Amino acid sequence: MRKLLVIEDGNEYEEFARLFLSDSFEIRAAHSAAEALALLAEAPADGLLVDLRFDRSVESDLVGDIEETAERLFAGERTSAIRYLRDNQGTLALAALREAGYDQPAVFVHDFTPRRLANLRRLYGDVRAVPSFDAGSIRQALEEEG
Amino acid sequence: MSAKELASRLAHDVGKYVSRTARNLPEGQVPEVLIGMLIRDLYAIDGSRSASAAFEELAGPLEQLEGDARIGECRKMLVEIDGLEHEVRVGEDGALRRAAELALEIDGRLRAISRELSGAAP
Repeated sequence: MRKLLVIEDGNEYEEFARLFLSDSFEIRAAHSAAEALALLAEAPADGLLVDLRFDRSVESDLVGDIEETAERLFAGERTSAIRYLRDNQGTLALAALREAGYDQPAVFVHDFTPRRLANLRRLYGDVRAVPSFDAGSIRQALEEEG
Repeated sequence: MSAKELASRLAHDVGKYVSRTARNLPEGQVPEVLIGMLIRDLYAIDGSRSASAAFEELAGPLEQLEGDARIGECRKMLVEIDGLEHEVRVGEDGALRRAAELALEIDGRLRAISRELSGAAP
Protein backbone atom coordinates (compact mmCIF):
# COMPACT_ATOMS: atom_id res chain seq x y z
CA MET A 1 0.00 0.00 0.00
CA ARG A 2 1.23 3.53 -0.75
CA LYS A 3 2.34 5.66 2.16
CA LEU A 4 1.09 9.16 2.90
CA LEU A 5 2.62 11.58 5.36
CA VAL A 6 0.27 14.28 6.64
CA ILE A 7 1.91 17.44 7.98
CA GLU A 8 -0.29 19.84 9.95
CA ASP A 9 -0.57 21.67 13.25
CA GLY A 10 -3.84 20.05 14.35
CA ASN A 11 -5.50 16.77 13.45
CA GLU A 12 -8.09 17.77 10.83
CA TYR A 13 -6.08 16.58 7.83
CA GLU A 14 -5.13 13.33 9.51
CA GLU A 15 -8.73 12.64 10.52
CA PHE A 16 -9.85 13.38 6.97
CA ALA A 17 -7.14 11.18 5.45
CA ARG A 18 -7.85 8.25 7.75
CA LEU A 19 -11.52 8.41 6.88
CA PHE A 20 -11.38 9.02 3.14
CA LEU A 21 -7.95 7.88 1.93
CA SER A 22 -6.95 4.95 4.13
CA ASP A 23 -8.23 2.42 1.60
CA SER A 24 -5.37 3.45 -0.69
CA PHE A 25 -2.79 4.93 1.66
CA GLU A 26 -1.10 4.01 4.89
CA ILE A 27 -1.36 7.24 6.87
CA ARG A 28 1.17 8.79 9.22
CA ALA A 29 1.06 12.30 10.65
CA ALA A 30 3.63 14.87 11.72
CA HIS A 31 2.98 18.16 13.47
CA SER A 32 6.19 19.98 12.64
CA ALA A 33 8.92 19.92 10.02
CA ALA A 34 11.26 18.26 12.51
CA GLU A 35 8.76 15.48 13.18
CA ALA A 36 8.17 15.04 9.44
CA LEU A 37 11.90 14.69 8.83
CA ALA A 38 12.16 12.15 11.63
CA LEU A 39 9.28 10.08 10.26
CA LEU A 40 10.67 10.16 6.73
CA ALA A 41 14.05 9.05 8.04
CA GLU A 42 12.31 6.04 9.66
CA ALA A 43 10.33 5.06 6.58
CA PRO A 44 9.73 6.65 3.19
CA ALA A 45 6.43 8.13 1.99
CA ASP A 46 4.95 8.23 -1.49
CA GLY A 47 3.17 11.52 -0.99
CA LEU A 48 2.78 14.46 1.38
CA LEU A 49 -0.49 16.12 2.39
CA VAL A 50 0.46 19.47 3.83
CA ASP A 51 -1.49 22.15 5.70
CA LEU A 52 -0.49 25.73 4.94
CA ARG A 53 -1.12 27.67 8.15
CA PHE A 54 0.16 26.39 11.48
CA ASP A 55 -1.62 28.78 13.81
CA ARG A 56 -1.55 26.36 16.73
CA SER A 57 2.16 25.54 16.63
CA VAL A 58 4.36 26.73 19.46
CA GLU A 59 7.19 29.03 18.42
CA SER A 60 9.85 26.41 19.07
CA ASP A 61 8.25 24.09 16.50
CA LEU A 62 8.26 26.63 13.69
CA VAL A 63 10.70 26.38 10.80
CA GLY A 64 12.32 29.77 10.26
CA ASP A 65 14.34 32.21 12.29
CA ILE A 66 11.93 34.56 14.05
CA GLU A 67 14.49 37.27 14.77
CA GLU A 68 15.93 37.19 11.26
CA THR A 69 12.44 37.27 9.72
CA ALA A 70 11.48 40.17 11.95
CA GLU A 71 14.55 42.16 10.93
CA ARG A 72 14.27 41.30 7.24
CA LEU A 73 10.55 41.81 6.72
CA PHE A 74 8.98 43.61 9.66
CA ALA A 75 11.45 46.25 10.91
CA GLY A 76 12.26 44.07 13.89
CA GLU A 77 8.63 43.48 14.87
CA ARG A 78 8.55 39.98 16.35
CA THR A 79 4.78 39.41 16.51
CA SER A 80 4.37 39.98 12.77
CA ALA A 81 7.33 37.69 12.07
CA ILE A 82 5.75 34.87 14.09
CA ARG A 83 2.45 35.35 12.28
CA TYR A 84 4.26 35.29 8.93
CA LEU A 85 6.05 32.06 9.81
CA ARG A 86 2.82 30.45 11.03
CA ASP A 87 0.93 31.60 7.90
CA ASN A 88 3.57 30.05 5.63
CA GLN A 89 4.70 27.14 7.78
CA GLY A 90 3.47 24.47 5.37
CA THR A 91 5.66 25.76 2.56
CA LEU A 92 8.57 26.34 4.94
CA ALA A 93 8.26 22.77 6.20
CA LEU A 94 8.21 21.56 2.61
CA ALA A 95 11.35 23.59 1.92
CA ALA A 96 13.07 21.82 4.83
CA LEU A 97 12.02 18.43 3.44
CA ARG A 98 13.21 19.30 -0.06
CA GLU A 99 16.52 20.51 1.34
CA ALA A 100 16.90 17.14 3.07
CA GLY A 101 16.38 15.38 -0.26
CA TYR A 102 12.73 14.32 0.00
CA ASP A 103 11.06 14.99 -3.33
CA GLN A 104 7.64 13.31 -3.02
CA PRO A 105 4.60 15.03 -4.51
CA ALA A 106 3.23 17.51 -1.99
CA VAL A 107 -0.49 18.28 -2.00
CA PHE A 108 -1.85 21.41 -0.32
CA VAL A 109 -5.56 21.88 0.35
CA HIS A 110 -5.55 25.55 -0.51
CA ASP A 111 -6.92 27.83 -3.21
CA PHE A 112 -3.58 29.24 -4.36
CA THR A 113 -3.51 31.84 -7.09
CA PRO A 114 -1.98 30.42 -10.30
CA ARG A 115 0.98 32.72 -9.83
CA ARG A 116 1.67 31.53 -6.30
CA LEU A 117 1.30 27.88 -7.27
CA ALA A 118 3.73 28.37 -10.15
CA ASN A 119 6.15 30.01 -7.76
CA LEU A 120 5.85 27.13 -5.28
CA ARG A 121 6.55 24.68 -8.10
CA ARG A 122 9.58 26.66 -9.16
CA LEU A 123 10.90 26.59 -5.61
CA TYR A 124 9.81 23.15 -4.41
CA GLY A 125 9.27 20.93 -7.44
CA ASP A 126 6.24 18.64 -7.42
CA VAL A 127 3.64 20.77 -5.63
CA ARG A 128 -0.07 20.18 -6.23
CA ALA A 129 -3.07 22.03 -4.86
CA VAL A 130 -6.71 21.22 -4.31
CA PRO A 131 -8.89 24.16 -3.28
CA SER A 132 -11.09 22.32 -0.79
CA PHE A 133 -11.42 19.11 1.20
CA ASP A 134 -12.86 17.17 -1.71
CA ALA A 135 -11.87 13.57 -1.11
CA GLY A 136 -11.97 12.59 -4.78
CA SER A 137 -9.85 15.52 -5.89
CA ILE A 138 -7.31 15.03 -3.12
CA ARG A 139 -7.03 11.33 -3.95
CA GLN A 140 -6.56 12.19 -7.63
CA ALA A 141 -3.91 14.80 -6.82
CA LEU A 142 -2.00 12.31 -4.71
CA GLU A 143 -2.22 9.50 -7.23
CA GLU A 144 -1.56 11.26 -10.52
CA GLU A 145 1.83 10.81 -12.07
CA GLY A 146 4.16 13.79 -11.82
CA MET B 1 -4.23 42.75 8.72
CA SER B 2 -5.19 43.83 5.19
CA ALA B 3 -8.52 42.96 3.57
CA LYS B 4 -6.68 40.54 1.28
CA GLU B 5 -4.99 38.76 4.19
CA LEU B 6 -8.22 38.66 6.16
CA ALA B 7 -10.17 37.24 3.23
CA SER B 8 -7.52 34.56 2.75
CA ARG B 9 -7.69 33.71 6.43
CA LEU B 10 -11.50 33.54 6.38
CA ALA B 11 -11.40 31.22 3.39
CA HIS B 12 -8.79 29.02 5.07
CA ASP B 13 -9.88 29.04 8.69
CA VAL B 14 -13.65 29.08 8.21
CA GLY B 15 -14.62 28.17 4.63
CA LYS B 16 -12.24 25.28 4.16
CA TYR B 17 -12.90 23.64 7.51
CA VAL B 18 -16.63 24.28 7.71
CA SER B 19 -17.01 22.41 4.41
CA ARG B 20 -14.52 19.61 5.17
CA THR B 21 -17.13 16.94 5.87
CA ALA B 22 -20.06 18.64 4.15
CA ARG B 23 -18.35 18.26 0.78
CA ASN B 24 -18.04 14.50 1.22
CA LEU B 25 -21.39 13.42 2.60
CA PRO B 26 -22.59 10.26 0.86
CA GLU B 27 -26.03 9.68 -0.56
CA GLY B 28 -28.34 7.84 1.81
CA GLN B 29 -27.80 7.45 5.52
CA VAL B 30 -24.87 9.44 6.88
CA PRO B 31 -22.52 7.23 8.93
CA GLU B 32 -22.03 8.13 12.60
CA VAL B 33 -18.36 8.84 12.06
CA LEU B 34 -19.20 11.50 9.47
CA ILE B 35 -21.87 13.04 11.68
CA GLY B 36 -19.25 13.39 14.43
CA MET B 37 -16.83 14.99 12.02
CA LEU B 38 -19.48 17.36 10.68
CA ILE B 39 -20.36 18.38 14.23
CA ARG B 40 -16.70 19.21 14.88
CA ASP B 41 -16.50 21.24 11.65
CA LEU B 42 -19.61 23.26 12.45
CA TYR B 43 -19.63 23.55 16.22
CA ALA B 44 -16.15 22.73 17.50
CA ILE B 45 -13.52 24.11 15.16
CA ASP B 46 -10.18 23.85 17.04
CA GLY B 47 -12.01 21.69 19.55
CA SER B 48 -14.12 24.43 21.06
CA ARG B 49 -15.34 27.32 18.91
CA SER B 50 -18.32 27.16 16.59
CA ALA B 51 -17.67 28.09 12.97
CA SER B 52 -19.83 31.18 13.53
CA ALA B 53 -17.63 32.26 16.45
CA ALA B 54 -14.47 31.70 14.40
CA PHE B 55 -16.01 33.74 11.60
CA GLU B 56 -16.97 36.63 13.87
CA GLU B 57 -13.56 36.63 15.51
CA LEU B 58 -11.95 37.16 12.12
CA ALA B 59 -14.54 39.17 10.21
CA GLY B 60 -15.81 41.38 13.00
CA PRO B 61 -12.99 43.89 13.25
CA LEU B 62 -12.55 44.71 9.58
CA GLU B 63 -14.94 47.21 8.08
CA GLN B 64 -13.52 46.82 4.56
CA LEU B 65 -15.13 43.42 4.17
CA GLU B 66 -18.37 44.37 5.89
CA GLY B 67 -19.39 46.25 2.74
CA ASP B 68 -19.38 42.99 0.80
CA ALA B 69 -22.90 41.55 0.81
CA ARG B 70 -21.49 38.04 0.79
CA ILE B 71 -20.07 38.55 4.28
CA GLY B 72 -23.58 39.28 5.55
CA GLU B 73 -24.89 36.24 3.69
CA CYS B 74 -22.23 34.04 5.29
CA ARG B 75 -23.10 35.46 8.70
CA LYS B 76 -26.80 34.61 8.18
CA MET B 77 -25.98 31.11 7.00
CA LEU B 78 -23.75 30.52 10.01
CA VAL B 79 -26.58 31.67 12.29
CA GLU B 80 -28.85 29.17 10.54
CA ILE B 81 -26.24 26.45 11.05
CA ASP B 82 -26.11 27.34 14.75
CA GLY B 83 -29.89 27.03 14.87
CA LEU B 84 -29.65 23.50 13.49
CA GLU B 85 -27.19 22.33 16.12
CA HIS B 86 -29.52 20.10 18.12
CA GLU B 87 -30.94 18.37 15.04
CA VAL B 88 -27.46 17.92 13.55
CA ARG B 89 -26.14 16.47 16.80
CA VAL B 90 -28.92 13.87 16.89
CA GLY B 91 -28.30 13.04 13.23
CA GLU B 92 -31.60 14.28 11.77
CA ASP B 93 -31.09 13.80 8.05
CA GLY B 94 -32.82 16.98 6.86
CA ALA B 95 -30.76 19.08 9.24
CA LEU B 96 -27.52 17.35 8.23
CA ARG B 97 -28.23 18.00 4.56
CA ARG B 98 -29.26 21.62 5.12
CA ALA B 99 -26.22 22.34 7.31
CA ALA B 100 -23.95 20.76 4.69
CA GLU B 101 -25.58 22.78 1.92
CA LEU B 102 -25.04 26.00 3.89
CA ALA B 103 -21.43 25.05 4.65
CA LEU B 104 -20.67 24.65 0.95
CA GLU B 105 -22.32 27.99 0.18
CA ILE B 106 -20.20 29.68 2.83
CA ASP B 107 -17.01 28.11 1.51
CA GLY B 108 -17.86 29.17 -2.03
CA ARG B 109 -18.52 32.78 -1.04
CA LEU B 110 -15.43 33.11 1.15
CA ARG B 111 -13.19 31.62 -1.52
CA ALA B 112 -14.67 33.93 -4.15
CA ILE B 113 -13.97 36.98 -1.99
CA SER B 114 -10.43 35.79 -1.32
CA ARG B 115 -9.82 35.15 -5.02
CA GLU B 116 -11.11 38.56 -6.02
CA LEU B 117 -8.95 40.35 -3.48
CA SER B 118 -5.88 38.37 -4.47
CA GLY B 119 -6.42 39.32 -8.09
CA ALA B 120 -6.99 35.72 -9.16
CA ALA B 121 -10.67 35.98 -10.07
CA PRO B 122 -11.49 35.34 -13.72
